[in-house]
Amino acid sequence: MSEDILNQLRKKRNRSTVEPRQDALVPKLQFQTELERQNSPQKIISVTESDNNGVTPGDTLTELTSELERYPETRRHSAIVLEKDLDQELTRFCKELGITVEVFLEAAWTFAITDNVLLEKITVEAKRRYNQRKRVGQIKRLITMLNNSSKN
Amino acid sequence: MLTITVGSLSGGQGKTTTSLFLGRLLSRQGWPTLMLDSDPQHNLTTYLGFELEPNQPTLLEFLKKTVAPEDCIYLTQDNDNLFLIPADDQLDTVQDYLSNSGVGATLLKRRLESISRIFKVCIIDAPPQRSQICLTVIGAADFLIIPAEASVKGYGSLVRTLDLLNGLRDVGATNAEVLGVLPFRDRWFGNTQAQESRAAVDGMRDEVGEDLVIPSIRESERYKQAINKRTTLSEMGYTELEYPFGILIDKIRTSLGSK
Repeated sequence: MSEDILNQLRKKRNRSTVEPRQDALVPKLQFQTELERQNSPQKIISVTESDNNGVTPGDTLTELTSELERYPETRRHSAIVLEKDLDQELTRFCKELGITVEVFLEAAWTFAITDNVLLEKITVEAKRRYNQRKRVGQIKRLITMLNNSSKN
Repeated sequence: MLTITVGSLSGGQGKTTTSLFLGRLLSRQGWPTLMLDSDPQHNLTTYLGFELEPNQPTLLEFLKKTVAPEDCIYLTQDNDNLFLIPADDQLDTVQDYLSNSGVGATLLKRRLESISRIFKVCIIDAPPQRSQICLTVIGAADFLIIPAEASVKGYGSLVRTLDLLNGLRDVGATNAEVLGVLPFRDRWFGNTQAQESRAAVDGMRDEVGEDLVIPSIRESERYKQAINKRTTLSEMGYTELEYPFGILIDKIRTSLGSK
């Protein structure tokens, strides 16, 4: 019996989702609205539907892979994930000054928070980047799912 | 299912390293192995190659029972027998839930009952703080492995962990026994052991007895390299560094036989 359940776990494709866990330091309502929009189930369903409309997983996979390639790569920088090129630039800049990326971000934040116009500009750009990052996450997940489904 | 918690009440004692190598080696023996990341710093989750979305179930939801238990279990990329219940930063928010539940120390044990027939072994990576999460992962354990740095700090971590274990046993919140104390980052220069390392390991032997102190994990970059390359030490050609885990696996095999 346990071997059957193990096999189910091995092949598990669909899993329940939960309310997005939130960092209490981020304004709750704004973040939630953003996430709900990003994680709207229709987006996932539309991929499932296109699967049923004669488009093979291979085609979708190629499309997704080429879309993914159009986005900038990210690189894990300790706990912070940054765009690859931006990460190199920022790391070099900070290294030349003898400071860390973390303290640079802290200092930048202390100035940004005192200037509403600047903060607004940063927020607009940040939202654009956030949406892009979410899309990359979705594409990666779909590629994994399609790769796995094509194995079976 | 044999549940083994890898716990030690200081940071940097080798809990995640020990959990990771044990999990990999146990699953490669063909035993269905469940790993459980109970540290909100979630290094085990990261080392196993997971980057979770905020809406994917984790240990937080497993403890709160807000989704089916199997929705919190993920197959790892390592092999078909290694599974993970992951964590993220938000696991910290379960502290209040555990303390308000009135059965915090025994809650995880209860939750694991539902999946205990599926897996042979469950390895739990404990958090370094003496928190509610720490209590519940010791409460769930049949055995405790205590990695401790071969240093004054490590010796202190061992003593504090043993005190906590004895306290929980005293109130009936756990039946866990110590499977082994694993000296970590033991420093040697050629054939000479560093004075602090020797004193710390001697102290550990005095504390738990000769039999329970496992051969040391020596200070070596190879462990980190194996973690980063997502492989085992023997596959990298450093079989001798795997020896301490071999001893632990023998002990686990004996315990499984007698269970």
